[in-house]
Amino acid sequence: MSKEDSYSIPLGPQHPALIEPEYLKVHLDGETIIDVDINIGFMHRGIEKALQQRTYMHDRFLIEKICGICSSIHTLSYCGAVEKLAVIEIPERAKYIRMIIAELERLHSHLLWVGIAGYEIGFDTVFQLAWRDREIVMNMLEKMSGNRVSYSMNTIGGVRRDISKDMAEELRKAMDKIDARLHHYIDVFVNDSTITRRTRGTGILTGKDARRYCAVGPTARGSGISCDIRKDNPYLKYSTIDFNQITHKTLDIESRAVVRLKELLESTKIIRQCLHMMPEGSLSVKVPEIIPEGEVIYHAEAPRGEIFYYVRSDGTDKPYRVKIRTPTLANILSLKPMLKGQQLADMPVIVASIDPCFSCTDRVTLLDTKTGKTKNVDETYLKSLKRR
Amino acid sequence: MKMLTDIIRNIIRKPSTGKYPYKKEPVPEGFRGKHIYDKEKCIYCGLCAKACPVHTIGVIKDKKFWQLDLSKCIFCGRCEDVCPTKCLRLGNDYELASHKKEDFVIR
Repeated sequence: MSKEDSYSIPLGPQHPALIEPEYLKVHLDGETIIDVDINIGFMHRGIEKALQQRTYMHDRFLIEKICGICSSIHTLSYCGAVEKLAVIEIPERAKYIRMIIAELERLHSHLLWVGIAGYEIGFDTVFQLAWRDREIVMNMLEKMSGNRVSYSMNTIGGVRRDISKDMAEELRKAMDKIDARLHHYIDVFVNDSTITRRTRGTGILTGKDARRYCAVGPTARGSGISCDIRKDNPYLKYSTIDFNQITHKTLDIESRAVVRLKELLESTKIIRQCLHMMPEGSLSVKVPEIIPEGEVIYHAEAPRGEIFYYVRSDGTDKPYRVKIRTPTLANILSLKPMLKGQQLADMPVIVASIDPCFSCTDRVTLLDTKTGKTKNVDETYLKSLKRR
Repeated sequence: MKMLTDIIRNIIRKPSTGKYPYKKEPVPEGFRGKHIYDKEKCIYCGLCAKACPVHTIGVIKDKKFWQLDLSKCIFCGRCEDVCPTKCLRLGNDYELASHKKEDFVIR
């Protein structure tokens, strides 16, 4: 059956199966999905433009608001990029604290995903219990940083708060608790028939397709591709830490779930090592307000995959351009091969399996509706937009 | 049926949720809540107004005027960091809902 003859239903922008507004046009033959058109752009907030109008320090707080779940990894990448531009080395202790916060964020993000997966499967007990265990991590983050969501720990030149000895001890205990629960969830996701009947064999993404659609993070690692920025191009102190990269080769939703859960065991390992290796010393160094001219890229491993920052300075106190590529933008296209040939009822859990975060994904594409041609945005056009 | 043990245990388990409106959850030390401003100590230098990323603090040095609009505040704690006399700090109060606009303004 061709795409034209098929029955097509719109899913979104406002749809109960998806939490954030995004539009997927699904072409159906009966209940079987034959094709999907992915349309993004309903959550565009113009953050990249707004970043050009604020100073580097003020940008740091705006960047935190890009994503509620990965607020620390965004600031980590941005501060890292600006420090690279200003040629500044941050204190050793600050590097370890940044890593601890980033790994705690991965813990809470993946535990949130476990809950969402359980919810989409229709198994609310998993959802409730995973989120209960996530509270252990959230409480630790609140104690360390003063806020549950916007931790505001990273700043240009270091970190803002220290981890005291009592806090470190408490964190170690929390990690033991989390480890026990994680072993239980791995057991559940591999052996519980209620879950495996929905996850095994659905949403297949082959390694070849994952490469072709440029998937990153757990989505790619679930297809057996090794790609982890922490290993491939270590930033901060990841090169000194002993941890494994997790890949799984069953290619389906279960594979992505197992990758995420096993990755968390590595995260707790990293946090323990960081607490052990953390040297005493200052937390931050002073960074001048005016950043020297130049351009720089910085990438880091966010919970959902590679996050990419490009910062260009023209020698003033405001950035000339900040370009952000978030992991969901890289992963969202791989929904197409995943969804083809699947049942419509499996769609929510397949969409959730890439852990989409639409609010940090949306971009502007200029489309001429008469001719259907897209317009290239060049440097002169961007310059004309820039307000001095 | 690995979750079955968890499901059965749920029958006798204590609730994990707090009884929030009746019993307030304690906040940890260093929580970033409603600001506590000490007018006596303030020297009206305006550093907090300059540092604020959302421009919610207004200072006029000559008139000895200082004002913060909580409805715009993102509770990042930057004003607390830069304050030279430590007259401004973020407290523990997080219940900020109100019907009156005046309640959001700290002077």
